[in-house]
Amino acid sequence: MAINVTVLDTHVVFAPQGRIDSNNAAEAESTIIGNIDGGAERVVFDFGQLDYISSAGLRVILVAAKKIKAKRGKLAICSMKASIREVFEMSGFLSILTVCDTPEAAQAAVV
Amino acid sequence: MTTITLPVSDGLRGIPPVLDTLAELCEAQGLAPQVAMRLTLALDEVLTNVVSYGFEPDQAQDISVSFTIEDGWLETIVSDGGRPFDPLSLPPPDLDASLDERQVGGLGIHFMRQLMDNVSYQYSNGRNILTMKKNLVQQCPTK
Repeated sequence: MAINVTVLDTHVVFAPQGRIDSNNAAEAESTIIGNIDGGAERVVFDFGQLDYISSAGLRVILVAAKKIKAKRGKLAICSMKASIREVFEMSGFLSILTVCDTPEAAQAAVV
Repeated sequence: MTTITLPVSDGLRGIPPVLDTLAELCEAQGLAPQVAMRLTLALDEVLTNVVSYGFEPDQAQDISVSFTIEDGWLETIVSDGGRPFDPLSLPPPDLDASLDERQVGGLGIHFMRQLMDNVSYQYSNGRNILTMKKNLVQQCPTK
């Protein structure tokens, strides 16, 4: 797993590649939560290159969403593959998070 | 009937090799990648819980997984010598909670129960034995 972090003037994009599971969730949390605690308030998760996520990864997304909401920021997720969407659906997260089809729509949702 | 049994060693790092074996089994059965993903996710969640919470800190982690394919069913058995614990006793997470109220955690076992057709637990001869069954024939790739 690697996470590409792109810091733009308006928002930050996290694009994880491969898998987020119990073996690397702590590393993902450190990268993502580190940026949010460091000031990121408008955040897009681009899951176009994400192949697998377990509950350990969802936990990181939930923690991120709670932190962003607490500082009245905005969060959107885009480009989920079908298998990733299925996991989000089972988790109930689709009803509490903003999920967009494209990066452009996600950017529009947070900026 | 084919049965494969393998240990889960080296803590969390021991999980991916076991999941790889399951993925290979699924591929050999001609299952769609999304079906294989559901099966590996269910096992990943169970093993992550056992490795993370199932043993005392100074206790050697004695965990094994076996896969049996018979009559169109995959039976996965996770056996461990850790503290007696029935994962099926966990209450389901509140999936309707708002973002503020939503609890962190508790999703893994929920996933496993959603993804498997039949799950049972017993404690026998000092071991937790979790048996998960999945019908491979009725699997629709897109659900």
